[in-house]
Amino acid sequence: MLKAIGCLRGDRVALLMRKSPTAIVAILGILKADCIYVPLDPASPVPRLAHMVASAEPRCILAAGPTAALLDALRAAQQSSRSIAIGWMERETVAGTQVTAAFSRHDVESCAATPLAYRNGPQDTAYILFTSGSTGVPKGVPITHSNVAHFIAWATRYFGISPSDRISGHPPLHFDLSVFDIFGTFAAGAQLHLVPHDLTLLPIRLAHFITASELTQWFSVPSLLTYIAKFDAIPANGFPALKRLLWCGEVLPTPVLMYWMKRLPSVSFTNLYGPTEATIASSYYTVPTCPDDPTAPIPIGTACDGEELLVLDERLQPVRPGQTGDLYIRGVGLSPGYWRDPEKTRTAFLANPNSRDPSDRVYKTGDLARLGGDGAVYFLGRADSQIKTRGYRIELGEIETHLHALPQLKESAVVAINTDGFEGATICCAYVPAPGAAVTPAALRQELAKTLPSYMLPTGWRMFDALPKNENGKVDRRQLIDDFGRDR
Amino acid sequence: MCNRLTQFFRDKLYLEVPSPDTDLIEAGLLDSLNFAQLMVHIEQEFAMHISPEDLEFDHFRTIANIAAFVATMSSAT
Repeated sequence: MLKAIGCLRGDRVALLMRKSPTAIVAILGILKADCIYVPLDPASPVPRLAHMVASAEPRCILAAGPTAALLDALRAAQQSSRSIAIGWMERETVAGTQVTAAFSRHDVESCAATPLAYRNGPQDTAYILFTSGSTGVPKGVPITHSNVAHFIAWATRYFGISPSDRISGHPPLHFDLSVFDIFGTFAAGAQLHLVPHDLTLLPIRLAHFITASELTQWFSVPSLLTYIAKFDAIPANGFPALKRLLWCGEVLPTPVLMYWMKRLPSVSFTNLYGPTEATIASSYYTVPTCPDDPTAPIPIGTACDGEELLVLDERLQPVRPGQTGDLYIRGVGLSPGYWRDPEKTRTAFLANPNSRDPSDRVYKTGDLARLGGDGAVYFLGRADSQIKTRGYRIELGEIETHLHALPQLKESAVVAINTDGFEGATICCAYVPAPGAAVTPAALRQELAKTLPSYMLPTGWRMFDALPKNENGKVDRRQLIDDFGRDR
Repeated sequence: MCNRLTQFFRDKLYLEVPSPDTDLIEAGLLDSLNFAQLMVHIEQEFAMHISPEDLEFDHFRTIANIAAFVATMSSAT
């Protein structure tokens, strides 16, 4: 069907729907049509989606669910005149006013079932995911078939995924963790159990789902594990079928890990680490025994097959064990580079200084790390103002750009403070109203919600007559972090 | 009670809720971050305890529903 409407090899096809069997079939269809899938979060505000659509320039958007109004708004916001076809993946006709679908599910279902030839190879791009950009707009990360195939090959072997496995599908499609859920399961011939979106808020029902589905593998962001621990929602007899618990996306607080390991003594627990730019995860650490010290850090471990973790100094030379350095990733997981952004690519994807091969690149993660005496790499934090909250990667600069555009504010700054809660980092906004402007945090939040997704909205707010400045005249962020930290 | 809750959403959670019947989840106002905050605030504000078993969507779907839930829990103690 995609080919029938003119999709050519290398074209992008956007996906505007929640995770479902239909969505997964759509992804397979896109890949088999030699195209690139671009998953879009239907909960994102229109301007953000419009930016991603403008950047990716998809030939087609496959949509399903309550997205008709969104499709109309996107059509209205579209700058270019190049028309984007809509493929409507539901049985009922789409109820939009401007949008007419080029094809619908009926058309798809009446296509012949014979497989079509595909020409894509390992170096071709499989998907583009967008991540927060510090200058205010999200940046696209293309990932190739080869990038994914290498990770899946390592992971299915390391975790021993077999046809009898029942794998969780929790992360949404716009997180690359979902690629492991879907294609890891398919590669192993196992069963994928999509976790209903609603259950994320209801820990007891989520626990019940895990038990009732007899899941053998659970993979999610740490904040969900912390949320479940907070409500002590693991049943008394644990999860009898569960064999493995994996997490990725942010630091799992050791006390939370201890709760889970004590309640599930026969489950193996693995920390996975890796940015979107290096495909799903690039390193792993399986925790050998339950830690007895809640302050002990859990390492990010050692590299997955074909990948390498490098802890380097400013001259890009390896640091001594125990010394802090910048974390770089090398190897088979590296994205070809940011989508249509050679400048950002040049800054982050560098030629390996210790190699003569120009195609040997290293990706600068922006994370700080240390090589432990045990040979494992330890994650120490960020070198910049990027934070993780609930697994989402957020550039504080992106939020500030949107705040600075508000006429009712004279000055504003965004800082993150770390709490012991499951949220990860808490985003706090310090603001100075413009003269004469009547401003409330609720109103500011409502304004920002028009262009930023909910997980990027500050949850702490404080009004100032003037923002504290340091001796350089720049906003004193340390002071703000102290101020907000005291409020809690 | 609904007015008190609307004010409380505005002042404590910084959320502007258009009406007591606004579906908080559909409107994207409630998520895993402020849901837990909401629980803590309700427990403090109304001097009650919410156990995990009470966590049903419908109890918290709208301000009107929260008001009804709080009323039931208060009268039960």
